[in-house]
Amino acid sequence: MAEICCGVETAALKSCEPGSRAARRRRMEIRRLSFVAGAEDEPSEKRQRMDGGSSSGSAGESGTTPGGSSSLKPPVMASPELGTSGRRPRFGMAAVCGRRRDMEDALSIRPDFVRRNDRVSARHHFFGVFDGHGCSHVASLCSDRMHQVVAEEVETLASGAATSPQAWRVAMERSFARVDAEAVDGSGERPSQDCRCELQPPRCDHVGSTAVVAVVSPTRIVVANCGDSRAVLCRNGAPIPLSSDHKPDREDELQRIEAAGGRVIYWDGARVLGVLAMSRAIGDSYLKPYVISEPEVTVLDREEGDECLILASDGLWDVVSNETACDIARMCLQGGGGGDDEEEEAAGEGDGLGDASCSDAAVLLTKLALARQSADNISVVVVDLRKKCKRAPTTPTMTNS
Amino acid sequence: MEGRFLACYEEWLQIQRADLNELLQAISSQNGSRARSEMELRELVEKSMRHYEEYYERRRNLVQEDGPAFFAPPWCNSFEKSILWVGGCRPSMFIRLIYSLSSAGLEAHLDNLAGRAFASASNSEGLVGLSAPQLVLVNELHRSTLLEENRITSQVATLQENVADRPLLPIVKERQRWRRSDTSRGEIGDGGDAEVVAAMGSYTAAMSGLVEAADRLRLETARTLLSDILRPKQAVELLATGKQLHLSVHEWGHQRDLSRGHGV
Repeated sequence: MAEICCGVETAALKSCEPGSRAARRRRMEIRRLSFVAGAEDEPSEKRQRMDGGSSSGSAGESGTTPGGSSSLKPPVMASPELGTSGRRPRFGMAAVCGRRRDMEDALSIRPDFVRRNDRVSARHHFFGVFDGHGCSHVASLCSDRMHQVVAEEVETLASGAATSPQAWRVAMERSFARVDAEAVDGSGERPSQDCRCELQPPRCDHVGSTAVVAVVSPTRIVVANCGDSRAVLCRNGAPIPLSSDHKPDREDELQRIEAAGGRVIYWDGARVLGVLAMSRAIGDSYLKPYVISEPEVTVLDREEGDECLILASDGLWDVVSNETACDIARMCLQGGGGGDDEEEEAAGEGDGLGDASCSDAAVLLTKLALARQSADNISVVVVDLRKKCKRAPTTPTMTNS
Repeated sequence: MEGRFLACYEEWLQIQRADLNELLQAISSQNGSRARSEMELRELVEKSMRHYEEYYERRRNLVQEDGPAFFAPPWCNSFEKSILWVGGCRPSMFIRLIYSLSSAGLEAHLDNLAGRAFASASNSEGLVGLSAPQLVLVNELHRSTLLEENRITSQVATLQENVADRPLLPIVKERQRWRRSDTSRGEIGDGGDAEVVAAMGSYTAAMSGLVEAADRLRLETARTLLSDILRPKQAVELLATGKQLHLSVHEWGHQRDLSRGHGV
């Protein structure tokens, strides 16, 4: 099952996955077998949950992209001090091309992405949504590289600094600047089947991407944003936006652009120089210095009432309000968060299954955006933040393999 | 010649109507005493799929005979012709149909958020209940289908541009010279000009090849969706809606032509 998830998931996560038709067919055949096998020996309810859960199977796989994983994977050490914080994050995601004919969104989910040592002892999980424009390759670069760069920046922090909000701000700002530099000079480029650019990357300067990144640790959420994707926290039943969209007509952004000598022209909405409908982005070297890659960073302590975190591209936010998104995600989590969760978690330890309710939330939000005629790519990540301390801890029945 | 082409399409419409009736019966009996088993639904889907394959097989002989005819088929009405892509429907339309059906009615459920109606919609066995892993597969299929569609579209463009090139253009110029110097030699369109026939033949053969490639993509996309990704009940829903859409477009396009005074 884990292998199937791997194949399916890698394709979902990585927008540049080449995936030949034959390979796809092979995967589908495997998938089909698994449906059939399930049909024979499992009641349908259980099967549905497994179906839902396998989409979030990436918990185990998304961090293992070819070529970049070994250095990131922490040494397997069961640190007793991690206690409840040592769990995998529960998350779900959905990403569709939707009504567009190009997929320019990319997701990146990297559980436990920072190497732990005496300076960084807690597990940190990385979630990112990148909405490309012009082409998909800058968004792909972000989904391949951003977590690595953030991890490097965090690892270089002075001892104890990983707990300081200011240190996180600096680390995020540095990371965005570094990835932006890679996007602009094309050094981090990888060949991509979906890349429609005729020009080679260094000269392909009309391409960029939004970036909304959330790093979740046991005690804190750090969100860095650049562009018009958005992160929203559901706390005590109400939405708290953790980022503010960078639109060219946002008062302070307008002033910044004009101070830099740029203009915002209203042509099918407010656009920098009449071209780009957002005021910050990774890439887009031809619009510098008006369009900048500097993120706005929010650092927030986690609280008891935190329910979930939603990251999504504007394909969702254009048609679904923060309130509605929050309501739907909460409802799915509450619906799926019944007493049988422990079992799901135990099963999930090894292969990443067990985030069915988060997947349901992400899928339902995506479908709602489709129902509301969203014309864009839609990407949604839902992270369950509820602490499960109310229940008695169970002895793990499965070991990490 | 045209009679066989028209007959092939008319026969296909008949089969579509008959299959649609069967699918609708299966759907309407779903809550009754004669509810169909998964196996029966799967067989029904396979039957429709078989009919697609048989139709495309019959069509293939005609496509090989006259590829160009399929780019603007005289047996289709104006509206049908205007939405054709290389002789048929766009394969990506199947996916758009899934998006529409899987999100249909969610807004109404949203009003009942307090109740659990919204959540139950996602547990539905129909397309509204499209699951997370299914959505991943649909999206993956969507993207590979779009790539393939774009590839064929670009080949059509190249082929069309090739008309302004060899082998046709030199012959046009040569015939022009002949006409100037000796009016008794070869007229364009006298039918007996082997060189012209051969030149035209090279284009029409390429067109046939493109329609065949497009037909293969249509079939393959439908096959992947209906057999590999969707559960039987979802597949029945997609097939029924797809056929309704096709037959309605055919009917209303026909009415439109009649009302504008150019009947088919």
